[in-house]
Amino acid sequence: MEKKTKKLSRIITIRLFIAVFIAFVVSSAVTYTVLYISCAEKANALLQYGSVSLSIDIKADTNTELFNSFGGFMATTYAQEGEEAAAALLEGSNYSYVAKMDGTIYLSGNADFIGKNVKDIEYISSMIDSALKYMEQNSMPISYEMTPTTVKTLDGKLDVYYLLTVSRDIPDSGIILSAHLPEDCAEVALYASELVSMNRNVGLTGFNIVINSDYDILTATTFLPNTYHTKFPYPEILDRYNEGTDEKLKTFDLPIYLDSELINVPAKMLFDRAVLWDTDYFYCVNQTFGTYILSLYPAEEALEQANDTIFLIVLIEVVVFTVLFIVLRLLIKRRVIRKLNSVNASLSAITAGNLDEKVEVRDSREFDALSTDINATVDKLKDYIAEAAARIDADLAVAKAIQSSALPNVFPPFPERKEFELFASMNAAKEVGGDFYDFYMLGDHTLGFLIADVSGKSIPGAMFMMTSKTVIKSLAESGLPPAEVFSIANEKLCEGNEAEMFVTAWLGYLDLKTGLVRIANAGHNPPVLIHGGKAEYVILKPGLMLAGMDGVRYKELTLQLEKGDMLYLYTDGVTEAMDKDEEQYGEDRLVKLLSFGENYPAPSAANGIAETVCDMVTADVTKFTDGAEQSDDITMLCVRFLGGE
Amino acid sequence: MTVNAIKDGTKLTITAEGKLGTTSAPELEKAVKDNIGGVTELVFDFGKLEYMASAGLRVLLSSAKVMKKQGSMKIINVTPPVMDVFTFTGMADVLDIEAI
Repeated sequence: MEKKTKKLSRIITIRLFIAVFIAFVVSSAVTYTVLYISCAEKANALLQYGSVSLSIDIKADTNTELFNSFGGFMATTYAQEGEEAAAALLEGSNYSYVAKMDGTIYLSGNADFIGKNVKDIEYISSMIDSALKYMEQNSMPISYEMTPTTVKTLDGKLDVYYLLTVSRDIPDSGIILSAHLPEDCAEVALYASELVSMNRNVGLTGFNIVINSDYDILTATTFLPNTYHTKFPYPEILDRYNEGTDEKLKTFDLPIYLDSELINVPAKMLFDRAVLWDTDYFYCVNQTFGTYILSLYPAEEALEQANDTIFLIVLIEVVVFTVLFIVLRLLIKRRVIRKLNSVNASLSAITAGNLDEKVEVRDSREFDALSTDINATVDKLKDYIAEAAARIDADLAVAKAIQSSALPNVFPPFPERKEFELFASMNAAKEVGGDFYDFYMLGDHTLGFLIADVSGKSIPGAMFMMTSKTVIKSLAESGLPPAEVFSIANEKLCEGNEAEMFVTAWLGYLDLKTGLVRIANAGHNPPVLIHGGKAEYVILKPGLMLAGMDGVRYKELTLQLEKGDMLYLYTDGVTEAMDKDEEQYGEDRLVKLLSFGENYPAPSAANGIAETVCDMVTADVTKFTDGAEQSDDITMLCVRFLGGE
Repeated sequence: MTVNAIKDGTKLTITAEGKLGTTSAPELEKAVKDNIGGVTELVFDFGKLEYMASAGLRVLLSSAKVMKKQGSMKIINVTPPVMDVFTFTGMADVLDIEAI
């Protein structure tokens, strides 16, 4: 089945469309992903900020509570009731102390610690300086700080939070250090967090809830009605946080300034996204003093901007890519396809035969080169064609020369013989048709005459003509009768006749005493017998043309001429001569022309009526064709019998 | 001139329509050459042939030479003007020719 090649513009359009479409899809997908990630990160940042600030506030409130319940209480007691009253408060607690400014402990519930220095405890030194600075800057009599993490007690046995209180009311601007176990802090923190977390928003629609270590929800929030003091329904989230190895758990350092000293306190937060309470949230889990802070930010709000942006971007991309597609397609059409079609059109003109057509598409280097190359090729071809044509013309000239030089053209050929008139002519066509005539005396009173038409053209035709003429002449002059001449000539001419040419021929032996003509006819046109002013064709059964097929035997035919009779022999160049309307001269016209009736033409000086008759026919045919190109040789031979001795 | 070659087993029928002259003879020659392989019966149908010149005779003669070795050849539906040419050239006696 034939495969129809598609138009280039169609192929390119489809490919371009696919490419643009893929680019559009990929860029939309990338944009969406980038936006999503950006929004998710923003959501997490928001959650982190909210969670951290909430935990800082919880810590601060817890500190304050602890200060109120112990540190400040101690300071007031000491200031108002003296050292002994303060020492009494310390009874039973191992790790709470009162120290001098330089840090040496002088009051403690455990005598082992007296004399030791509180500055040996982590952070305490910086915290003291920080508290003092604060008091000075703000003209406060008292200041307190809490250690950011648990620290080891002086004997290294426990991890506790230390509340540092610095008070001017205590002699030597004393330092009060109270130790608090994490669980105790947690209890205090719970109270603080319940208050602090209420109505703290994350973004517009996000919020925080606080959950205690028993997984009870401690926040009353309008976002989650009826959850106050209920069990947190998603314990697995908190479990993941506690477990500590989840991939979504981020441990990072929260920087905290402590007397201009930046210390990093490790913080642990879990960031994730889930559907909780039928709503899609980004969330983060944090922990302060044993209470969990769950910050929730609805995905809808988080991604709102993303979705709007995506919609806008997709819209813009559709427009941009459509425009891009159209522009590219237009460009290709204008710059490439149209130019190609133009080149093709010129090439078609050249193929149709107009070798002077030039390809002139020159608006880009490639097409310029293409045009130049095509034109150069065509010019080269034109040169080759001209050369070939010139060679053919040369060949034709040679063939014509061979042909015309071969034919006897001296008339009258036997001027001393009065028994007959003989004239013959051959007008060669440009293409050299290979016609010939011949005549010879065979013995004393026999005239042999021959007309023939070779089928081949140009040099091969001319050479075949020479061969046939020579063969027939030599056979005739050897004394053989005409039929046998043809039979033998036929065999000879069939030999080695590779080009498969053949020759029609009409050979006659005229007995000059009796007027009997012995004839052999090898497929040639019947001659015209002019007898008493009447002309008619001599139809004699022909044999096959010479060199057509071997094994053909020719039969001798006879015709009796009366005194004055003429035989007019011709080739089909006469009867098939064409005028401008491609109408043939025809047998009828010829026989009509030669029916003189009463009006015999005047005899010419040298060759009698025979010559006049030939000239007459030549003139009439010329008049008939009237300028149309001669397509075949016009050959004729006319013999008139004037009677025997 | 338009030439058609119809092959039916080992029989080849070639029709020629129009004028068989010097320029159109090569077309007929090609049609014979392309299809004559393995043919045992070659038939030329000249029912629509108006005119025959000697170039056409040449093709018929060479085809006859080939078919002499392979099988048989005949020319059918020959119109009067073409029949005249066959008669005058003696082809009518040598080839199997049927008038229309």
